[in-house]
Amino acid sequence: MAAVESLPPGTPSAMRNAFGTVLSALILVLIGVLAFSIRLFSVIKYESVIHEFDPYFNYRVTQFLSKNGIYEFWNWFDDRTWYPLGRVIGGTVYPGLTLTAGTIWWVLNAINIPLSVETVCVFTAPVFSAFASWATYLLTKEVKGSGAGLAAAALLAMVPSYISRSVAGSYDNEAVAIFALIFTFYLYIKTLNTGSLFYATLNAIAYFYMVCSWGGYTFIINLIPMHVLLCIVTGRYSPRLYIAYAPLVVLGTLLAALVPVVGFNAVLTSEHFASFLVFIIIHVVALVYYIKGILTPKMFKVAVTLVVSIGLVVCLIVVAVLVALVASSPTGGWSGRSLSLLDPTYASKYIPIIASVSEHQPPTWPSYFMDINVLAFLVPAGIIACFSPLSDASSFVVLYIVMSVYFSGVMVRLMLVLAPAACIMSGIALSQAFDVFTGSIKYQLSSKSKDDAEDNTSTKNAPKDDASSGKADKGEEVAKERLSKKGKKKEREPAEKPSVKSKIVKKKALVLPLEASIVALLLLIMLGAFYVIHCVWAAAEAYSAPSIVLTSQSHDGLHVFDDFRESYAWLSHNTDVDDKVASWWDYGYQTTAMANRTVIVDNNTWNNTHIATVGTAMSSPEKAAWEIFNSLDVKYVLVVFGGVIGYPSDDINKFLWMVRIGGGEFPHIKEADYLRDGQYRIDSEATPTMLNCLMYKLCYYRFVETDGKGYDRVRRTEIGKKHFKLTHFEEVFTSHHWMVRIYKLKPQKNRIRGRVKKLKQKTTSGVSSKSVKKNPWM
Amino acid sequence: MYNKTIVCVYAQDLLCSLHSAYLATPTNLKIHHYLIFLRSFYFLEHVSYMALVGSFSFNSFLFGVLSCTGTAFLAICLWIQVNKENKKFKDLAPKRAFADFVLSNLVFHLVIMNFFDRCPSPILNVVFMSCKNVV
Repeated sequence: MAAVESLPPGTPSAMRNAFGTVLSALILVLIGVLAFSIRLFSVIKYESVIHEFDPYFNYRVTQFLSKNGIYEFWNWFDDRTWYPLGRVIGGTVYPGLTLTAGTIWWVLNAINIPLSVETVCVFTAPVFSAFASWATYLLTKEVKGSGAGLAAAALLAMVPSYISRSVAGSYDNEAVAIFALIFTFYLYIKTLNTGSLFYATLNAIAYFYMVCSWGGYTFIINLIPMHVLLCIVTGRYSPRLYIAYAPLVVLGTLLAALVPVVGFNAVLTSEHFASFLVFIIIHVVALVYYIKGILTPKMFKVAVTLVVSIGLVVCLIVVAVLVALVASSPTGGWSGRSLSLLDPTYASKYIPIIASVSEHQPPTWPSYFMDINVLAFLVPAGIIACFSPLSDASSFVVLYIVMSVYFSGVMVRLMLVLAPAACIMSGIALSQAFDVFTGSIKYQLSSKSKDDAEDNTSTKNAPKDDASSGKADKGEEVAKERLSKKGKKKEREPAEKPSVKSKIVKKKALVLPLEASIVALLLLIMLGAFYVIHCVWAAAEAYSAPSIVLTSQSHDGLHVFDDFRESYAWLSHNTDVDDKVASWWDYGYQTTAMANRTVIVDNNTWNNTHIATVGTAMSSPEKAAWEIFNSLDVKYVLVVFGGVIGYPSDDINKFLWMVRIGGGEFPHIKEADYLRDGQYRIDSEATPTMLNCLMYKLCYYRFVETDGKGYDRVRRTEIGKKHFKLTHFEEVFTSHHWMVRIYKLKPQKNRIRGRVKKLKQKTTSGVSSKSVKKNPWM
Repeated sequence: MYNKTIVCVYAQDLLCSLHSAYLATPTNLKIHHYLIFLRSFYFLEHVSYMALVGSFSFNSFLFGVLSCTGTAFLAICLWIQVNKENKKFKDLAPKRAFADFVLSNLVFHLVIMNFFDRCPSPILNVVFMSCKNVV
């Protein structure tokens, strides 16, 4: 729309172009401000604090980076987590986010703006979401023009799915990764459109930034080859395609291999094979086209028959070798997470840890409407608009949305990848619809002032238009579909001077009646208003909770539950620096970041056996649990308990997963032992194994003292065993609302009293055999 | 038998026409073709070496293989852009195409230098290691 042409300044169209450019720039600035400010609700409602679990790890790594510099960061071996194994941070973390925030902090401090690391970390996500909406503008402009670009950018600034992972304080990989994703796609489309090697190099560098930031980069490296294949198969091969794809594969793979997390996986795992395969295919196709160009058609046919017969044999050999290589690995070369994407039932059968994460569950239908709202039914209109005309860029966007819809159906977490695609499609649809309506209005108004020259064209108001004006009042969706179909049939609407257009050109132009256009415009604006209202509500109410501070409204005002930070502060003030704390892996990152104590397992979940050890300890009776923890040098055990205030994500609700994960490695833990008739209960009907396990005891110790009856507000029953004593643990801390409870391992007794010793000597054989059988660590 | 002879005749015709068509390409493009051929040859040699001796230093294998492919394809890209018969690239000045080529090669070699493991001569080794640290 706002195409830059070399016009002499001062002419009306040049003035209009200049005005359009300035207006676009102003709108983009406003969109950036909007994207930034809609994510600030959590800072306003709570405080500038880092949210959830994973961001605490990233925050700790950024702190380390800012204190010790980049060489120490690359070589950092962290011994305060996964005790006694430790973790190689330099080699297992995606460094993009931390390096970005570290650079911003360093630059700001170098120009004497003394922001703390925490402030930079909290506000990185909103800043990068502003960048992401600008990148969406650029991408959609390449596909359909700057009007669609502005619409898409405005939609992305507010879409709830993206807000949920990038509020101020959500300092996680996706905050920068989505920006990198959209920017990489933009550069790819730009290379495809212009065929310039410069943009291809930039594309590879942007892809490198994406690989640094997020494990979801495999989506790019599989989507782009699929698109190339699609173009080849539909006969749209061109040299620009080659220039767009080949540098990306080679440079991109090299750059991906440079990131320590990926390393040689960039060439060895199945996730990347698609790119190599299509690389070979595109070379073959290029060769074929080249030979076709220099030969006569008859010769070409001969060449084809010869090559096909030889080539088929060679291909079969190569494919056989490849299949043998791939089949030799048990998962066919794919990593666990990718395999669970392709086969949604894989994780629940083989890897319970992946299945237990709530983000990895398939989404429900309402979550689509919650997360992308109005865009859900603007997307089909956008897909249709992309087909008229179909270019390389628009076929890419269609493929992008189809793939992302599929993957978002497998995992809730990937709704985030769907959001930019949906915004682009909806932006295109909205922009086309607006074009049609405003064009009709303009034309109708100008034709009303000019009388007879347009007699011919006014009769083009087909009878369908009367039907559409009737139906336009019914429902927004129906009107949208019909009118966007009209937009597909209709050509570029008459714009400036009605007298210029010839009747032959405008014979095909279907112009809508004035009233219908105005009503439809108003309805579209109302649609946008509903979208904005929903987004602001979602950002304020649903997605701004920092989950480390909880609030609840009651009749006597606002209650704030700050138990987590209270207990971490207690830990950091009242224990030795080298004490080890055991808890379930959810709280590992927070414990190391805020309490600064060594933990046994944390959210990285890279070692399933270690987690299973902790899970077994939590599921065993006190003595066995004490022995396991003692072998790990643990001093303190931390549990989260929500029964007093009704906090549903506590350890008792997660307990069955502990049993399952522990039982996956240590077969003496059986899930059926903890269920009564297949039901998970903690009241008087619970099984004795459940009532004696460590988790039950640590959570409900002295619980009956709160209200006299031991009524658990989350499970909505009274607990089974109310009065009991702990023999191997002692309680050292319970937070204000009983949400976090910390216990200390009692040291072993130095002496065993005489009589007990004699008894033990008599029954040595029996005891020893029993202990050999029961203790699975020997 | 009859079909086979016809195929042979056709094959000869094919080769002749390929040959004549190839001779018609201007000389500057032939340089590109020669370079690309050289690099493909080195690539095959490297792969066969690895297959024979085993991929001990995967780093250096990757470096060898990918540097060959990388420079080869970049030359192909330049060839595409410079070829006068390619109508889509008429408005792209050859100087701009070459500048793009130089830039992408620069980036490419900056990246590939990170894969250096070792070098036969100790002096060169020191030089390369210091370059790597700078980069």
